Amino acid sequence: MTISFTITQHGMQPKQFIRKVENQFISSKGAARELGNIAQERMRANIKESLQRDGSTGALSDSIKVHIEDVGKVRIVGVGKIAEMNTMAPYWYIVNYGGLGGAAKHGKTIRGYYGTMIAHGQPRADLRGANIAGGKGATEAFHSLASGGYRMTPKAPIWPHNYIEKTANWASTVYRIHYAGALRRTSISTI
Amino acid sequence: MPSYFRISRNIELSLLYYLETNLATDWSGTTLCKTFKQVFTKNVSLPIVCVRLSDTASVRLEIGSNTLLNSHLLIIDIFARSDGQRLDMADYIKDKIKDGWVHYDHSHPSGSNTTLTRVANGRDMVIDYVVDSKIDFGLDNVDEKDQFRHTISVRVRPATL
Repeated sequence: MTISFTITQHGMQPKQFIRKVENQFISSKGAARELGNIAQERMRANIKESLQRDGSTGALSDSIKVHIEDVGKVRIVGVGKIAEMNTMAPYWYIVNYGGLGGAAKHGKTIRGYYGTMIAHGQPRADLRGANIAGGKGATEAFHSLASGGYRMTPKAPIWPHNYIEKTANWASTVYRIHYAGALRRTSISTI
Repeated sequence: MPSYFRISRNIELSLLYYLETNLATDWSGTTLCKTFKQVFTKNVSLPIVCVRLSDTASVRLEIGSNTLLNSHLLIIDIFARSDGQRLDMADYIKDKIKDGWVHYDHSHPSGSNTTLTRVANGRDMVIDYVVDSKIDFGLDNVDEKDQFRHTISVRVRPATL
């Protein structure tokens, strides 16, 4: 007995399917990068909006950068690298979470001025002020440590600015509304 | 005429009320605050829980809709006496808020700005945990209230929407 089959293909050829997935994958990688870029802008804006003193150097805002890493088919997008922030604006931690003067120390000595240096008649914050040791014109004290470093001792608590949490809240909302649905439609999973 | 509070304030006060009643029963001696200024007042003793609504992210619910989908960022800061207490208190609070709480509409009665009236109106739901972490400033030269700190931030949405 002979059984005959007629096979009719519906839909895409395997090659077409692979090409479609690849195209969607490429566009989702671009979307991830774009979300990182706008999250960076948002975090910088959150920092600037919460400034409480005049004369900001912008170091904290500048330290927020987008980092993109592709590991196989996974794209990792990060906003703000701790190692860079520790170097460029070591006070990032206490500005975000708030606290008292002694708390300015997070595993390392915080160097910097907080409204201590007078520039053009105005107090300003500066990490690289030439007058740290003398502290002339200082409105808040820096106390020398035995190690030769300087510890910041504000007279009043630093209120938490929570610029990290605010950005995460915003990014998560935007992701769910604008990205998650689109990615679901493309059948590409996200981590 | 009574003065009615708006949604953000109601969400913040609803969580404060919920934690206040639970902590009074399960963790007596805990001080509940709404601002850092209160936390760092000298006569407020540890342990302290500070609850505040920090931020609201708004997007349109759908294209063409005039309704906004608001995600309220609530931050709960724990100031504990020890590291163990910090962990216990963080777990306790996370466990308490995971299923949401009663949302109250608050108002001041006419002619009184000290009395608060609350009427239950649905529930507030935690939709995401954003941060759940120790705040580590080290132990040396740190203010007593900063020594054993923990922060929990959650995204909250009223279930009535």
